Amino acid sequence: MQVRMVKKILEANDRIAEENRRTLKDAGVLSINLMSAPGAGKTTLLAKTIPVLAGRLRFGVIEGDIQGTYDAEVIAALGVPVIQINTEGACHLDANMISDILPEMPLADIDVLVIENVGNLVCPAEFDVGEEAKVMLLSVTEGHDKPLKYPLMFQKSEALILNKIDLLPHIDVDMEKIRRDALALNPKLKIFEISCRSGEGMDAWITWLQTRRQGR
Amino acid sequence: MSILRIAEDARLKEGASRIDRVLVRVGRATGVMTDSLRFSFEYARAEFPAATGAELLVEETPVGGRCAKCAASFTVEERFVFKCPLCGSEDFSITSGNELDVLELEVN
Repeated sequence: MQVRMVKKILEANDRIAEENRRTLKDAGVLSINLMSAPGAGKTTLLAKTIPVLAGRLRFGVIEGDIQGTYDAEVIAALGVPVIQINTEGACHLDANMISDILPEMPLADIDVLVIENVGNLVCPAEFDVGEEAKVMLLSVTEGHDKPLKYPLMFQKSEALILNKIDLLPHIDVDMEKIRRDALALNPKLKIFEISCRSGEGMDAWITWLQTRRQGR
Repeated sequence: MSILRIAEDARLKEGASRIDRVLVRVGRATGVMTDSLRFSFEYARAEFPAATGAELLVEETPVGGRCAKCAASFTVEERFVFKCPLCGSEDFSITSGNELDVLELEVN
């Protein structure tokens, strides 16, 4: 017997993601799925952003890593609620992992929930975890070929943060090419050039984050 | 696993005893590799006793779009589109290539 259907294979994930999105929206929380390759500076970006906005925006952070609690400890030291998810091998977070721990997050006391995904330029872009916005971080040392090599993440993100610009004098990276290719993939992409180390460019990113939270 | 779970749900609903064939549609923009999908499917079958002999058929759909400037509909060979292949405009929308669906089952 033949059974015809059109059933989305990722439907289970998408359904849970929608539930997460509704929970977060109802709680008035802006949720951001922060994605990058390993070592681009996701945790450092948070460690430099959260204190600047103290008293203005209340943060909560979910840390996704294959193993360990290093990142969660860095965030916990800032005095904000943080939950570490260890994926035990999986290369990305999925909606179910977020759904499991969301009840533990004090959403009533949070304005912005950052979900720091596992360091990986590929799979995190494919799985909706129920976030409102995807933000991608790329360190300039990774090279100008990345938009064309890993297009999906550039296409799906609202904002692209180019980190480690303090290193530009020492490396041969074509910033114009990164911008051009990223914008060709996603004309609406908002691009920031920053250095978490020197603090350069952080203002524009922080202003965007505040505006994004207010304009909801 | 999700494919087999969908198939298993449908089998139970139909009151059939085994799953013989599963047809899935995979858009080329999803990045899903057909060979890897087949490989995983063969291993995942072991978790579903009614599906141990199930065959996986894959229908690939090309990436296609519609240009906002010249109004043309197009499909391309590549997995990604950067501009309209006809007029070169970067203002276009993707209309196909992101599918990842179970389309048809043979259960008996």
